[in-house]
Amino acid sequence: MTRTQGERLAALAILLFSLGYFVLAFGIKAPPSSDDSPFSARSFPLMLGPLGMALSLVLLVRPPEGAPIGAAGFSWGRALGLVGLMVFYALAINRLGFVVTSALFLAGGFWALGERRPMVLALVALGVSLGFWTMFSLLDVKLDWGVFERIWS
Amino acid sequence: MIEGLLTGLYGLMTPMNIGLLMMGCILGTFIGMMPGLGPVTAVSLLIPVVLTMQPASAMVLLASIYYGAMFGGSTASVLINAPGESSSVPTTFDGYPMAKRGEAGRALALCAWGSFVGGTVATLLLMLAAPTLASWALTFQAPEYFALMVLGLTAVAAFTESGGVIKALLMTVVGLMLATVGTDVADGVERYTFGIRDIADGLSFVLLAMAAFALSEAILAALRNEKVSEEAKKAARGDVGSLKLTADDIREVAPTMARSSLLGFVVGVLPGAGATIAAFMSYAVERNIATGKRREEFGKGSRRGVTAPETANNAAAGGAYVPLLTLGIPGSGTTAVILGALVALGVQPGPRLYVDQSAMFWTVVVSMYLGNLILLVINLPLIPYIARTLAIPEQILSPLIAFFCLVGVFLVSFNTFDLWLMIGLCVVCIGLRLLDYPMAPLLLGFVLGKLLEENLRRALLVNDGSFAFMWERPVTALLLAISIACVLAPMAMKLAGRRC
Repeated sequence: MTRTQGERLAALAILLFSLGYFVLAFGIKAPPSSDDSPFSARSFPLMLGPLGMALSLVLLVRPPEGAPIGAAGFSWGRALGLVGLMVFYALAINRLGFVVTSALFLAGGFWALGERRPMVLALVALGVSLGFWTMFSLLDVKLDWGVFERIWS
Repeated sequence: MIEGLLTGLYGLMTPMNIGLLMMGCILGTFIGMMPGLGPVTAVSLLIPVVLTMQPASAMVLLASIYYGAMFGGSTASVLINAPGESSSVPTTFDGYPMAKRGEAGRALALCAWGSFVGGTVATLLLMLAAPTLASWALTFQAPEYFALMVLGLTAVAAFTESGGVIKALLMTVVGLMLATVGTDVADGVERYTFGIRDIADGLSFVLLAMAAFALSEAILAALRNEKVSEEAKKAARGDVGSLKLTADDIREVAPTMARSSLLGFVVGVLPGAGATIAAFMSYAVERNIATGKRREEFGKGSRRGVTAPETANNAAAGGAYVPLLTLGIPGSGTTAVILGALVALGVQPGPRLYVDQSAMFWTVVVSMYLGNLILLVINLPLIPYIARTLAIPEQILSPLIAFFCLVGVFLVSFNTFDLWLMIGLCVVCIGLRLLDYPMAPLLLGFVLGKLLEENLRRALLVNDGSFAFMWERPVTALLLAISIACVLAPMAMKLAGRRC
C-alpha cells in the first residue's frame, strides 16, 4: 500500500466514522423537558458530525504528501505478537490470575521481540510480576490467583 | 505571595510529598532518557498511580515526572544523538558534537544548569502571572470560557508538530466526539453507549491516554525494531567526563540563559506553542545574534547552542502551567494529560482552581522550585549511572511498557472490558500515528469536550439560542478571531511558500 492509498483509507475510515456518529445523533432521545431548549443532548453531536465529515473529506480528496511509512523496514510480526499477547492478557487475567498471566505475558513479549536467554525470560518475567503482586498486596490491593486459588483451597 | 509560598512549603513538606518529588524527578529522567519516550509517555504511565492520591500529591508527582523527563531527554540527545522527545532535538545540534569531542559531561552540565535556570525563572514568573491572570479570568462567563476552549483546541492543532493542520483539527473533532460517549449530564440521557453499561459514565481518560501515547509507543518501537546503538552501549558504561563548569563557561552562557528563560516562558504560556517551539526559537535566536567565531561554532559544539534550547524548553514547561492552572486550558499533550488527571481526581479546572485550591497551587509551585534543584543537585551527578538505562534492549523495554499500561488500566477498574477497549483504541492509534495523525489534539479534545459542550449550552441558553454572543461580546469575539487566525495562518504560510 502506498502512502497516498494509506492516507485515503484513513480519511475514508474517519469519514465513515463521522457519518455514523452524525446519523446516530438523530437517535439520541432528549427528554421532553428539553423540547423548547435551544440546546439538547443531541445538539453538540449534530455539530461535530458534519465538522468531522468535512475535514475528512478534505483529506480524502487531497491526501497530504508524506514520506513512505517505511513498511519495508517494519517488523509486523513482532508488533502483532505483542498485540496478540495483550489480547491473551485480557482473556487470561481473570482465569489464571495476576501473577501467572503477567509472567506469561512478559516472558512471551520478551521472546516475541527476540530475547532468547532463558534466565532473562524466566527471572525478569517472574521477578516483575511477583514484585508487582507483593507491592500491591502491601498496599491492600488484592490481586487474585484465578484458578490456582480454587485448586489450593 | 509570601503567605502562599509558606502554605506551599507546609503542604510539600510531608514525607510522602518529598518522596514523590524525588521519585518523580529520578523516574522521569529514566523514562525521558529512553529514545522515543518523552514527558507525555512518562506522565501517561503514571496516571493510574496518581488516581489514588490527594490532588496536591498527584500534581507534585506529575510535575516532577514532567521535569525529569525533559531533563532525561536532553541526556539522550547529548550522549547518543537520539532525543527522547522533540523539544530536545535542537540540543543534539551542538550537544552531540561536544560529546564526540570528549566533552559529554560538560554538555550535560550545561543542559542541567540551563534546565535549572529556565525552570526556576519560569516558576517565579508563574507565581507572579497566575494570580493576575486568574483574577482577570474570574470575570469570564460561559461565552468567554467557550471561546477560550476553542482557542486552546485550535492553537494546539495549529502548532502541531506532525501531519498538518487539517489532520490535527480532525483529531480534535474525533476527541470531542469521544468525549460525548456516555450519559449527558444535563439531560441525563445516554449517548453512543449502545447499551454497554461499562461506558455509561463515558470512556476512561486513563485508557485513552495510555492507548494514544504509552502503549502505542511500545508497539511502534517493536514495529520499528531498533537495536541499541554502539553509542548507547558506550554511553551506558558511564564514561561522560567531568560534569563541572568553569567560570568561563558560566560567563559564556549566562546571557543565553536569561534570554532563553524569558523567551521559553512566553512561548510556553501561549496555548498550543510549548516546549518544542520554544527550544527551536531560542536556538535560532542565539545563532542569529551570535557574531564571528561564536556563530561559526553553532552546529559544531557551541556552548550557547546546547544551553539555549534546554533552558527554553524547561521554561516553556513551567510557562505551560500558567494557562493550565489559571484557565484550565492545557497548552500541550503533556499538560492535557495532567489536566485529565486533575479532572479524574475531581478537581474542577479553571480560574476557580487558584481560589478554591490555593493550597494545591502553592504546593505545586514550591515543588517546582525544589524539583529543579533536585534535578541539578541529585540527578546530574547520577547521570553516569542513570545512563545505563540507555543499554536496556528494546525487546525487554517494549513488553515492560505494555505490561505497565495493561496493569495500570486494569487496576483502576478491575474490568477486562477496559483492557479490550484500550487494545482496540491502541491499534487504531498506531494506524493513525503511522500516517502522522497527531495524538495530542485528540486527547485535548477529549479532555476539554465536556466542558466545551457545557459552556456552549450555557451560552446558548442565556442568549435564547442565538449565536450572536460570538461576535457581540468583545472578549469572546477576540478569542474566536485569534482561533480563526491560528487555523488560517499555517495554511496561508504554506500557500505563500508554494508561490515563492
